[in-house]
Amino acid sequence: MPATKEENDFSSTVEFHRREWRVQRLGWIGIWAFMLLAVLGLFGGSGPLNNGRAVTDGVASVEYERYTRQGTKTTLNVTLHPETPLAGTARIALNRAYFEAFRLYDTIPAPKAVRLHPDQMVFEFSASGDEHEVTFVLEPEELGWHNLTVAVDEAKPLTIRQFTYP
Amino acid sequence: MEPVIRAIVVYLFLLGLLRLTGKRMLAQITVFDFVLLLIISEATQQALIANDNSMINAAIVITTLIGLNIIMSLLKQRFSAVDRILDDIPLLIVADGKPLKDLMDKERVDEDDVLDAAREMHGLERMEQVRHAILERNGKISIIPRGKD
Repeated sequence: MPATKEENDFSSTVEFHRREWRVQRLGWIGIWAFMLLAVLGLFGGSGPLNNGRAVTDGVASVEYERYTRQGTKTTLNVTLHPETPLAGTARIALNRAYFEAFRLYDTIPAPKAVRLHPDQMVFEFSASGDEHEVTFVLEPEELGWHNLTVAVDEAKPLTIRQFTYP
Repeated sequence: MEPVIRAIVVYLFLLGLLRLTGKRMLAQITVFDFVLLLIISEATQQALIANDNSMINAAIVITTLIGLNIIMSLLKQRFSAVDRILDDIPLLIVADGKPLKDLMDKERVDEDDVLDAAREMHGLERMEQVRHAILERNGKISIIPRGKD
């Protein structure tokens, strides 16, 4: 016996809902995956995926956030190791283009001099033979990927990449 | 990580706090309650976003709150104990026309509230016309009128 119009309507309604439930379940998995990635730091904040660390020829190490958020301050820590051949002055050079995407708020400790070069901004600090940490407080202003080149004294420059979310 | 943790803490805090206020809180929203809700939401917003006004932070907070709500709904569906704890259970407050005063007092409901519901739902005028009244989980009062027989 062929199905009545009501039976057809009912089965198409149920079929619509089955599709809807499938999409909903996939959406839930997406939501929980998003939460997990947020906890792991893929969208900035604390979390292993966000903690970046790089070493320049053993002279200094740079700690930074891989993922930053527009308008939310971030820090760039440069640690100068005791064996760094400082000769009383440590120079940390950052590429100028970086400061088009990030506004520099503070440098701790304050540098004794800042020298501008065509493609670099060089921060000079008085340094002894101990380990020193220099913190740059920055605020991301431009979205997307940005390259930062860090050069400490004569060591080979190091390039790191950061992504800024809206 | 912090926005996820902040959202979880605020969600659980609000859940616990609103659960403590009792069933009738939601059913009786006065102008003052409404203003109170606005103030709560304002204070909550500060706690949720802290000083981070980025869109990604808002997306994380919103997704976490919705994700938690889905998890809670699944837990409530699967475990009746969780359902009782989070959503409460209905309570009989008028049995066979007789108001159960001690239960009504505990839930801060009086006979006028029952008669209000009886008038609105069935056009009843007196308590004797009510067979049962039940205080539902959402704070509303359901009326089962006496049959004509």
